[in-house]
Amino acid sequence: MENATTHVEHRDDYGAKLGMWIFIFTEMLLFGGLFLVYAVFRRLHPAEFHLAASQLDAFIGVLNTVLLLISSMTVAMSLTAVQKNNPKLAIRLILITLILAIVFIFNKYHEWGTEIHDGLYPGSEFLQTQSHGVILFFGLYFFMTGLHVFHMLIGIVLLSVVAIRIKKGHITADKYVLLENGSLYWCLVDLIWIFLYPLLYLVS
Amino acid sequence: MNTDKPHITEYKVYAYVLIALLVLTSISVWITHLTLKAWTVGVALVVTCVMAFLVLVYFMHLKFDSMLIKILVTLIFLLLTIVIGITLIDYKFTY
Repeated sequence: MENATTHVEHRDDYGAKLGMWIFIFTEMLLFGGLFLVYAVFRRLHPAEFHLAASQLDAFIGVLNTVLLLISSMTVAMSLTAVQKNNPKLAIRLILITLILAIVFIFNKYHEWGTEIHDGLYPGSEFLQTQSHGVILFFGLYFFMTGLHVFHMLIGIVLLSVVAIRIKKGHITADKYVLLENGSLYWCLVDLIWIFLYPLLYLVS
Repeated sequence: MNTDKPHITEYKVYAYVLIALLVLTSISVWITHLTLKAWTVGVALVVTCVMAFLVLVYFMHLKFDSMLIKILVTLIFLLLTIVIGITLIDYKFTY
């Protein structure tokens, strides 16, 4: 075994991508479970869910949907840029994605701030006086959007690491599985929002 | 496997998909202002599924991925549909 001196780097891009997809499936099932809870409670309290959803700011909902869709496109484009050997453009596209993500979270912060100011948060004195369905809606709303924003924060860290690694030359035109997986994660965040948005904002 | 010759998606393909997604978003906003009653939820659900499909197939590159990943993604969505569908059917007849 001593004479086998040439070190061959172990690389399994397909395995890495398959692993990422399996992780994505667990995320889909996690949010799927929440959608199931939402579907059942909405069926039991249709009128209250309509009333509660009408209190949300529909404009911020649409705006954030558009921001997230554009950010998904830019992160997907950064993969093309790296494949075409254009790391500068790839980094710029990831930076645009990160800026859009921060604007999304900033909007969300304002939206939550307004709702909390109006006493629409789980456990508030005002919400205790409301009907059961309204309490359930806002509990689900804060939990689902909160969990989603938590995923966005992880995505921001992940994409920052990816951008740094492109800059350092660790991600190149023939070795880009980390960017591919980072992009998959970001698109998953977008995918979840595509389902969350109509459930929370468009039911009113 | 399919790693030896990766497919490079052109920038314009992503741009077209984004335009389609934005159009679908405006449709989903627009239909909620109409009074289609029972149809609103159905149409919104179809629009949402088309949007999810576009993101999965183009932004997440499922179109050029291996058959195994394609089948697994389909099965996950099938599983969620069955679980949510059966639960709702159960509630329809018990409550």
